[in-house]
Amino acid sequence: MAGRRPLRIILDLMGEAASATDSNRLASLVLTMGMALGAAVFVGVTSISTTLSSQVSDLFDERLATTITAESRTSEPWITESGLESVRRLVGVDAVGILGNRVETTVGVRHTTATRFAGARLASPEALRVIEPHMVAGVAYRRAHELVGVPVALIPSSLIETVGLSGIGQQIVVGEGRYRVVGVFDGLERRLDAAGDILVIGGAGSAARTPEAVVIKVAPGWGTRVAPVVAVALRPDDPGQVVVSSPLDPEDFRLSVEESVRATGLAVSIVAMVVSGLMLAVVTASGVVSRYSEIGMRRALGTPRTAIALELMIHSVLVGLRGALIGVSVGVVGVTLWAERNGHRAMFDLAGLGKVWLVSILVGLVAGLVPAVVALRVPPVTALRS
Amino acid sequence: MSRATPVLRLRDVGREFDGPVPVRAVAGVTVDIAPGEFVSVVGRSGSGKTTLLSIMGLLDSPDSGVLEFEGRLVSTLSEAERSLIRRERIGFVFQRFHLVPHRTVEQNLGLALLYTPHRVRERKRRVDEAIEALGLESRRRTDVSLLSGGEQQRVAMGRALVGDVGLLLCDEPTGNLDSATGRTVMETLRSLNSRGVTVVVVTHDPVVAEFAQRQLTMKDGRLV
Repeated sequence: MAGRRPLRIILDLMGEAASATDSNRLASLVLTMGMALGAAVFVGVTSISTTLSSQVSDLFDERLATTITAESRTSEPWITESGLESVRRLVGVDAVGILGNRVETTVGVRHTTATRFAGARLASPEALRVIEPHMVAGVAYRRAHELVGVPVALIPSSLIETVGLSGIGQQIVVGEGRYRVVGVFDGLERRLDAAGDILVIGGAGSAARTPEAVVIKVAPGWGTRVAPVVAVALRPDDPGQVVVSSPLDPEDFRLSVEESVRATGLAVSIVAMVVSGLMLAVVTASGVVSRYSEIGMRRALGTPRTAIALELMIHSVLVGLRGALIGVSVGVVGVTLWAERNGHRAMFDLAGLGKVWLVSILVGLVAGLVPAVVALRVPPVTALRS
Repeated sequence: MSRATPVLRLRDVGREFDGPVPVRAVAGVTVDIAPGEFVSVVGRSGSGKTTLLSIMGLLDSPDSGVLEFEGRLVSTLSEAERSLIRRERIGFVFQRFHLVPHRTVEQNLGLALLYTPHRVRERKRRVDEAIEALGLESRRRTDVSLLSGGEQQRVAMGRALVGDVGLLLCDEPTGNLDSATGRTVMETLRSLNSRGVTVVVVTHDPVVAEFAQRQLTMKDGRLV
């Protein structure tokens, strides 16, 4: 093709590649759908993962990033009312409470029937404001309980049968103490590790004697600022005795979640694209075999081998791009509908969308390479006889 | 090219195919094809006619002897140069037509003009002329798969002629046609020859061979 006008050669190549797409409709349809599937999965997975990671990190901001736990290095009593008050006065602190460690103890509706075991924890009334149980029956706590001096308990719904509870207000036995059940919960907003335990409030049961932790609820964004001063506020005389579990920096967490979810999504979608590419290569290569006669005729007409090879590669790229266009459209619409239905704000990774085109071109090129090499090697006489 | 220079000049050309038993398809063929000639090559099936035609059309290379095309020694030409000669100087008509299915008549004719220096307008003019000359105006945008055998062969001839070919090589051009349609095709070839196109027809049909000015007969790969 030396000495020809480059633009005309390019137009001939593009025109012929496009004509091949139109003339092999079934094969082109299969290839397009394959690429579209890959691209749709790519867009779907990356966008859903971006949306979800955003949701997860928002959730983290609201829940985990607003919880601080302080514990003592020793088993000696260490919490003082003045220490708790100091923490309450810190800027950004919403609530401070005491939560006992979990103890495995006997539970039942009477002493004589208390032969079953379950986990229990002491919780101060204010601790309930921190861990925020999701009540499904009864109430979490009322000031009146404290005023009349009745120790109360909240039990998780999963333990109703274990305890043998028949209704709110019933007394149950937890270890050595008797408690009035005032509410049933099915989860906790914070300290998810305590969601399966009976929470006893007040009284002198065994749960109350376990080592305790101070749980603190802070306003969103204050976790990393409040945590460093909690130990000093609780025990100004010996802050080294206090171990404070501070939440991760929300931004770091967001980035790590996004990175993790998106990396997984990217891996899945790359696999999908590669599978589509392999399919493209196989079907295009088989298309070359079915077009042997045509290739032989084209060679007889004097079409250069390189032109035929380039036509096949361009054809493959065009099919890939067409598939990508369909796949991206389907992916964007699908993710938007999914997000709307689930109350999320759809988020698209624009760089990822850009990569779809790049990947589809690369996949098309690689997929077209095999048939191009096959076509280059076809002797025209052999092809004409096929 | 001077008048004395033959379009094709073959000297002791041979071609052998490998296999369990090597087959010498063409052996010691010496012949000149002059510009404007109408030559037929006859012979039984397996006599080497098609192989000889492939060599003449630069689709295959002889493994012995000398082949010249319009005075140029073919063995010294690169694959790209041979492709260029086929594209611009040689036309082919095959027994099985070798049209591209699912494309229209004009698209099939246009294939022969791809990668040539002609502008789009010039290409269209040439295609239009060929369609008119072959009487296929009403079939211009018809899928070639829907054409009759005779019409398909006319399209194949048109494809060979939309360029400025000086040599038309035909391999059993009437082999898939009834006798009446075959005669029409041969009349078309004769008409093209009268306009200066050199025509070489390979056939086993003596009636077809009669259209040629000169007949060559092949037997066991040799001209007899």
